[in-house]
Order: sequence, then structure tokens, then C-alpha cells
Amino acid sequence: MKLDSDLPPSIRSALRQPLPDTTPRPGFESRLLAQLKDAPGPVRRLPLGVPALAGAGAAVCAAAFHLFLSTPPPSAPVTNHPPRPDRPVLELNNVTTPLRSEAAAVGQSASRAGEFLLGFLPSVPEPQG
Amino acid sequence: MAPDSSAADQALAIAAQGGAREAFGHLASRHYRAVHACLLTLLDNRSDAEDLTQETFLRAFRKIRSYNPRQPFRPWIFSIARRVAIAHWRRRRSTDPLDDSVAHPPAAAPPSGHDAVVLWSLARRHLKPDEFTALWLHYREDLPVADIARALRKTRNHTKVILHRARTRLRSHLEPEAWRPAGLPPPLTSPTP
Repeated sequence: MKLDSDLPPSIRSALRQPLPDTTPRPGFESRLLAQLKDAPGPVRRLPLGVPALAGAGAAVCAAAFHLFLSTPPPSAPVTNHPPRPDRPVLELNNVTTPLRSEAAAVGQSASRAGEFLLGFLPSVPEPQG
Repeated sequence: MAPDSSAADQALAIAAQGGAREAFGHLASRHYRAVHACLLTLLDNRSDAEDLTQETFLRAFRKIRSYNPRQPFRPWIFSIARRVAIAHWRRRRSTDPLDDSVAHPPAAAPPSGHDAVVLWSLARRHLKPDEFTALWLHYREDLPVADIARALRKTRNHTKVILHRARTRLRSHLEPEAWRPAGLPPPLTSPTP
């Protein structure tokens, strides 16, 4: 493809003519260089091996956390005992069924998981006064 | 760009990649006028052009390690400027929906002459950003197609197509007298009844 054949020579030369007043305003260069001086440096790549170690650590934590969540708490066994009076029940066709005790177990697991996660958070100092 | 210039850019870029901020400052001093001129002509707004030029070089500074010093620097910096300009347009379109001048530029007044100002004004109004950038890099920066392709992040063939479309579109908005080969009589017009 002949690149310049689409335009006549007069237009091509006009496109190359200098444009007036395209220089930045005074002080621009100094501002630009000052910004570059104060700018945070280029992002450094992590050395080889670090991402792999970090990934392995994350995988171990995830597996441990999953195991933690999947272990039923001993305090909330799944039983077929009749519900206690203070436990919410579901009545359908005159048959009283306790709301699934697994739900309580899941709730307790979630609570324990929250406490587990809170252990990883940095401690927040108490407000003074 | 002259080979000496490219070699100097290469040395400065390698030093900048090693952490020398002064070297990057020298690189910026060598190229900011070209970037600013392109952005000013493209945006037709001096403040925006200066802001985006600064943004271009700040981004380049942060990404200097991704620059390959074996390639010329100018296409690389223009590729960043292009992305900065496109992001600017998108921001303006999303935050200023009533500004029709961005999405629908005003109809161009008939060009009264064919100097550079008129031609580039037509290009700004009627060409797509990639077409404008390709035309600018070809005629103002004298970059070869390979370098324009690097700046646009397109293939060479695609870049040739973009250049062809840019010229065709620009020509369609010129007065017929401007591109009729010299010596040809004006076209016959049928008399209106």
C-alpha cells in the first residue's frame, strides 16, 4: 500500500508545517520535573520465589480454615430429641419439628470463624480518656 | 528521530530503570514538547493538554521498568499518551453528559485555507483518536509504520489501514479544490432547472 498516495503533495506538506503556539506555558517543565522528583518510584517486581512462597502459605491457611469450618462443634450435636420449650419450632400439620439444629451449629461455626479471623487483625489501641 | 537521539534515549532509559530519577527527568525534557503538542492539538485545550502531559510522564515513570530500551522511546511514550487521552475522553463523557462537544464535535466550518492549523483542526474534529494519532505520528513525528504500530499497539497492517482511513476521511472534509490534481479543470456541474 502506497502510504501517501491518498493525499496530494500540497496537503501532505501542509500537515508537516509548524503549528504555532504548541509549546507549553512557562514553568510547565519545572512543574513536571518537580512532580517526577516527588513521585513514588517504579513498582519493583518481587524477587523470584516470593510469590510462590506467599501462594503456598495462603493455600495452607485456606485449607486449615476450611477444616476448621467443617468440623462440627461438640457443643451442638445433631440430635433427634424433642425440642426444648425455649427452642424455636416449626409447626406444620400438627407436627412439631425443631428448627434444624444444624443451623445453630452453623451459626456457632460462623461465630468461631469470626473470632478466628479477628485474631489476625492488628490490635487497635483503646481510645484515651 | 536520529540514531544519536535514540542511543541517548536508550542510555537514559536504562539509567532510569536502575532508579536514576535524574535520567528520567532528562528523558522527559527531551520528549515532553512533542507529547504536549500532540495532546494540545488533539484536545484543543491548553490546561487539559498540560495535565495529560504530566499524567503521561508520571505513568511512564512508574512503568519505566516495562519499557524495552532496544525499542525507540518516542512510540512508547506516545502509546501512554494515547491511553491517557482516551481515558480522559471517557471520563469527560461519563461526568459531563451534557457536553455534546465531546461525543458529537461541532460541524466544522468550511476550511478557509489549507495551512497546518486548519488541517489539524479538521483532523481533530473528524478523525477517531487512533486515526488522529497515526496521522500525527506519521506527518509530525516522521515515525515509520512499525513505530506508529507500537504506539497504537496494533499490527503494521492494521496501522496502515488506520492511516489510509485517516487520510481518506480528512480528504473528504477538505474543499475539492484542495486535493484536485493541479491542471485539472473543475468538475462540470449540471445546471439546476
